[in-house]
Amino acid sequence: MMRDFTLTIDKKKAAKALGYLLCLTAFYILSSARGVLSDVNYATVNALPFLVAAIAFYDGPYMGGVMGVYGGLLLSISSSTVEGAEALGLALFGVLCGSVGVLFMRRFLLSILACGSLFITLRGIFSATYYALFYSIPFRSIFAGYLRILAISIVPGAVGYFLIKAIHRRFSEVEY
Amino acid sequence: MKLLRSRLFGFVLAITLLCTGLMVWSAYTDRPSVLSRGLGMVVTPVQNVLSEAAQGVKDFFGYFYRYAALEEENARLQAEIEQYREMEQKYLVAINENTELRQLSGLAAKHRDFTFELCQVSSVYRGAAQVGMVLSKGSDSGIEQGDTVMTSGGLVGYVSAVGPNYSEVVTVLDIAFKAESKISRTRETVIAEGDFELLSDGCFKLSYLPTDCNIQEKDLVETSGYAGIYPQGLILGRVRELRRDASGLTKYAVVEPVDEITELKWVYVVKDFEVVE
Repeated sequence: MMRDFTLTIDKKKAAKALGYLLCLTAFYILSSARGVLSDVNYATVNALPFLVAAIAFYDGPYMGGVMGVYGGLLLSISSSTVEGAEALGLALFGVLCGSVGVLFMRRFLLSILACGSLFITLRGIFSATYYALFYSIPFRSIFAGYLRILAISIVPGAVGYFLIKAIHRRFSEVEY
Repeated sequence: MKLLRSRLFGFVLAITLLCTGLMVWSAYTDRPSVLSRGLGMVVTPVQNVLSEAAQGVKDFFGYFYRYAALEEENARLQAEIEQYREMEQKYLVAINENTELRQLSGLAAKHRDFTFELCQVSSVYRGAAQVGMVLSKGSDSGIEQGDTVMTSGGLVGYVSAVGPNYSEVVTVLDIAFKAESKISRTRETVIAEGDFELLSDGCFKLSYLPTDCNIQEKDLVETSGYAGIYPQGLILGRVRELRRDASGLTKYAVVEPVDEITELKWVYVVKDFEVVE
């Protein structure tokens, strides 16, 4: 009996991880497919940091890290950034949210939005510094571009949070 | 030491090594990794379907809320067609004259043989300093990294990475884009490159022009064909205006591409071309 019970828990974990993967994929496809959310106010929606933050808050640093790698790989398909860089950034962000973020914040919408926004802002600072150093583009201009991405990604990010929450609840019930 | 032995530290280390490995692989081989290729193979067909569906919905509702605009556009296009018909006549005369002049001067005409691959635009990416797109075909169709991407109007960009069934494209608007070009009217050689300031207007620029350069508004810019990177004579765009650099020592020209890059649905990839002098 004990063995069956463990199997059920493992299956639920696997189903939950699959749900998260599908959710990340769906958000990526929706935001990058031509004519959907790929060109909103001259920017492409990026809700994946919010989803990774939500996963990390609900399932801890390990799931957050793995989903961060997956999300980063998805992002690298359509961007010209070196493959692996987005994955590394998003994975470390997932680990930090799951290990440090949960110590200081409650698991609710505003925390997820704050963390996701912080990630996009930091990504913007990093990117703007890079372009300022190597392309002599004013820091403020690139950074403003990232703020625009942030502005259009908050609502999809909030929707993503509720989806992640629903998936987590659905597959976290213990069966007796 | 306790931290170094913790499970979380090991996990972070593993992720860092994996991602660093991917970065090194990507930088070294200039190709997407197996992971990225696999994801691209799965995601791109879904993007195609979704893009088509979105376009269908947009077109359907467009009939209702854009009827007046469509009528206006139709009238304008009719007028343009008339104008182009007249121009075509003039061009035919000019082409005949040009052929005779070439023969007279003893120069051999340049021959180009393009091998085309028609591709659907699966997705468009607009970053803070990047404008890229993903196409529906890849190495399975013979597309290679560096291949030229164009429409019947002119150059769109180049293939920056290739997966089995998708290709990533850096467009002429991307700040990573740079190409040696010519002004069609004067044959002056110029450098065309993406520019951050002009990106949001859907334009790019011709840099470092001397203040006394002979470039005018509406001049056509075309690829020079030097070094064989791009085929010769592909139209890059039309000069919209000339501006002075911040230093005041040089000018630059703002160029608008022939096509609305982010609105393209289909493009051609030039898999092979030959320039015979």
